Amino acid sequence: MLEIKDLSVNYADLRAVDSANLQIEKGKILALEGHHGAGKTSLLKAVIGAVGSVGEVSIDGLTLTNRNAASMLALGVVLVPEGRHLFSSLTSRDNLKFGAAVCGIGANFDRVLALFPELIPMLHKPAFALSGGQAQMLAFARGLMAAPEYLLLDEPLMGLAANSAKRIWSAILELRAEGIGILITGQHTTSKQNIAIDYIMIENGIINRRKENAK
Amino acid sequence: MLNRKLLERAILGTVASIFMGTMSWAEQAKTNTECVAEEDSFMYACILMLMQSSAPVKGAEVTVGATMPSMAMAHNVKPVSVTEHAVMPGYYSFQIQLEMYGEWRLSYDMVKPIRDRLHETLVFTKVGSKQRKMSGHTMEHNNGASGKTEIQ
Repeated sequence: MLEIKDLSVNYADLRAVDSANLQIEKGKILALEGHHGAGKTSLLKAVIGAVGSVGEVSIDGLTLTNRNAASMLALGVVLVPEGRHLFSSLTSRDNLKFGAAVCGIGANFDRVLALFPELIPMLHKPAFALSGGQAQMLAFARGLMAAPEYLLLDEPLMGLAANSAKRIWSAILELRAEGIGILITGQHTTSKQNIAIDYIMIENGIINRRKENAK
Repeated sequence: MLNRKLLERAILGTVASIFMGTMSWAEQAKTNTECVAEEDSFMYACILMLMQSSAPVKGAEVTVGATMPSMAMAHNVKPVSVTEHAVMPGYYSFQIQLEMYGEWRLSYDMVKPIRDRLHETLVFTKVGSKQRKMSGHTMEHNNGASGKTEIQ
């Protein structure tokens, strides 16, 4: 279990995240919902050590100090960031390969292409040639190349057409069935889906409501 | 008690990092840079992929300067620091203030983990950078070699 205890993030005088507590269990999805600026991205960045924070992050009881994106990746925690961060001039295939190379493992295309067969005809095309939905699938698939045990998905549905969002959700549910623990952020992430998952709300950096099994 | 799988994974990641940090440097590093224009005139936010032997170079200390090949004496931008990207492992990022749109040659000076100088020429527009040739990414090195950047 990936556990977050009393995690706070400050930007100068602004408290972006205020004593957040949550648990991400393997084989479960937790949705973190809130408006822009509510603290969702800051919380995810704090988990992987991309921004300074106070509080505790642990995996299976092991407290992780001096966290950074690379060390968390090595521990199986992968953040798929908002904005995708794809190399647009590289082919989809090379973007995927990078996802594996960055953690020193061989590229296993079969698994991600089974999950996102839409990418197969796009493998030799540069990432800039992809539609928004395909680009999101590629960013998601690149994260999966690192064989994560926990996935942190920052606004993966933002700006996507309904059918693309449905495809992303379908992949998320398959990954849950494989035992991956998933934290997904967004605005009304769950309310637009007929899917039973746990979700929590964040507002002004404070996690203020917890609901279970939406829908 | 520490989960055995977690421990194995941490060891594997550490070994991979050490291997990538100490591997033989027979193959020269390659760069792939993409920049997006900021709101300020001619200011660009860039991300850099630094690869060697098909593996990302980790923990590199790099600065980058820029010159216009067509007017090298007239337009010469002082080097700025390149830092590891906080969110994306294996990526580096930097901001650079150019002087005008057009073709700029980025010169990377790497002092760690090895000393090396790498060059990449891009066309900078109102929107961001693009490559000189649509057919592929042209990459130059200080020895004059050039080639298409690919992850093997």
